[in-house]
Amino acid sequence: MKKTVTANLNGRVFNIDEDAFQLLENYLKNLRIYFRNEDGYDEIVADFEARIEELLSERVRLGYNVISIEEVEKVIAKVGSPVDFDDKEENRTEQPKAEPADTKKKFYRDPSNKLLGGVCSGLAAYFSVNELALRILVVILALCTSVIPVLLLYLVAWLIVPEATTAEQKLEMQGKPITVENIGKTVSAGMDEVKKINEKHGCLGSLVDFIAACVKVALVGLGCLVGLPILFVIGIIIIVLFATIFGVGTGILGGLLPCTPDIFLSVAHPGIAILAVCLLLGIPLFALLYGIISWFFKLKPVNKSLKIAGLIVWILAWIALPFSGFKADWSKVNCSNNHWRFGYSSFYSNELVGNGVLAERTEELPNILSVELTGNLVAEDIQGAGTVFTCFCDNSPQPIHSTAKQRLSMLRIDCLIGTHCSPSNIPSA
Amino acid sequence: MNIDNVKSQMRKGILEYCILLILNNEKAYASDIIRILQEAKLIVVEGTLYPLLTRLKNMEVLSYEWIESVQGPPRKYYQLTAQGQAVLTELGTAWDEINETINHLKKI
Repeated sequence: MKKTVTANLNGRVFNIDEDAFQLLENYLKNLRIYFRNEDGYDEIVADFEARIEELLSERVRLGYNVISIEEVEKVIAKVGSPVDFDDKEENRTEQPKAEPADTKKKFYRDPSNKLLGGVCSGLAAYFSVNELALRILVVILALCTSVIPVLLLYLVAWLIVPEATTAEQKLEMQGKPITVENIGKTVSAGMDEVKKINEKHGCLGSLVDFIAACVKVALVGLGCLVGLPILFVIGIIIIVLFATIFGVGTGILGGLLPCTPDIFLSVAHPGIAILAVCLLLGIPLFALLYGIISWFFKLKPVNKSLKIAGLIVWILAWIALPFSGFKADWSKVNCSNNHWRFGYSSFYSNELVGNGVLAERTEELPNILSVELTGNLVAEDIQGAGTVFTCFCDNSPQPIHSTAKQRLSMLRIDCLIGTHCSPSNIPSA
Repeated sequence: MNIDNVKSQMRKGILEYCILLILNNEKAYASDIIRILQEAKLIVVEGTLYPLLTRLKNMEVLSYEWIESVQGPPRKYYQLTAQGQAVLTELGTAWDEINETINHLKKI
């Protein structure tokens, strides 16, 4: 069973197999490229179309309702591909001179030699190296970098880099000049390709296509999964920023963040900071969203100059940000209770011992031991990040060690006897 | 020297003249011209003809009119213009000259 499409050829409707349609469309497209410099180019292509219509109509008249790929191949063989029309002899000598500017290379995905997305084969064509060697290199690189970064790069390239579909693009991919002769060659090679793909579809090809489709869907899913939390965090940062700037207070964040809602941002020039942050976050976000949406709905790709403008503005925003005096003091974000789980030694002890740090007990309540680390101690400065504070506690079966990961000016530990205590971080004045 | 290439060059050289000859007596549409040329082994693929016809039309050697067809859409029927007639005569003279030369050379 095969899927068919309807095609309008010279005003006549044909039922045509999908692969056959593809081949025919490619053929006509390439004819258009081949004859684009001729006077009366439209007319020539229309003549071709009319003739193809005539030949296919004959077939339909004989009772074949659906045009198959074999039919189209026969028609193309009869009508001929550009490489056969060597009546352009006189043009050939001047052609290479006329179009030397077209020899620039562009990075396309190569659909004719693809294994997965055609990224590697396109890259190989771009650098004119052997694709097998490049693939092996990529795999080795992936293994060396614990797979994920290379995989991500690959997937991003798959989404972003266009596929070389027309003869022109294929030549650009290989860096060959776009001359009539070259296009002719590519077009006739393209015919074999469609045939090959068609044959491949029978066995391995459909499996590969299926896997490729799955990977693409998974990728979009992943994008949503990663994108949504990022959006959430970005939203929070913007709220914090506004709150800090306008002095609303960050109390509203208490419910949103798994953190102590301390003010941790300081801004000297709020206006610049807001603008810069909005641009920094907004531009990539917009690009990402547009990419995902256009992939689903086949929107037009964004204009190249707009892309460049966006990039420049984005870089400017990065430059502007430090000048706004925007500073995030992450040490004031007490995001985790886990870092500071303390047991304590004894109700009767006045000392908090830890790697030679001595803390005096400054306050005593009936069942609360409050210890303050005085002397403006900085945990990191004492023993580095690995400094371990230990509070011994008679009631606790084992002492709980805590590693100083945050920079502290003062640490106060309020503990209820018999429970784990949670220290609170007091910013120094 | 590639014999095939030389032969195809020869055929190509007289292709325009042949088209004009075919259209001399009656107007014809592209597929008729193709059929005749293919029978005479002057062209291999049909595609060669369309750009040629368009070029001749642009040179005002040929003109065409649309004529309704029973089988499908209207077809383009080509015919010689007055200028085409003149070109045909000129080419005919040239051909005769070549023919004479060749015949002469053969006898040497």
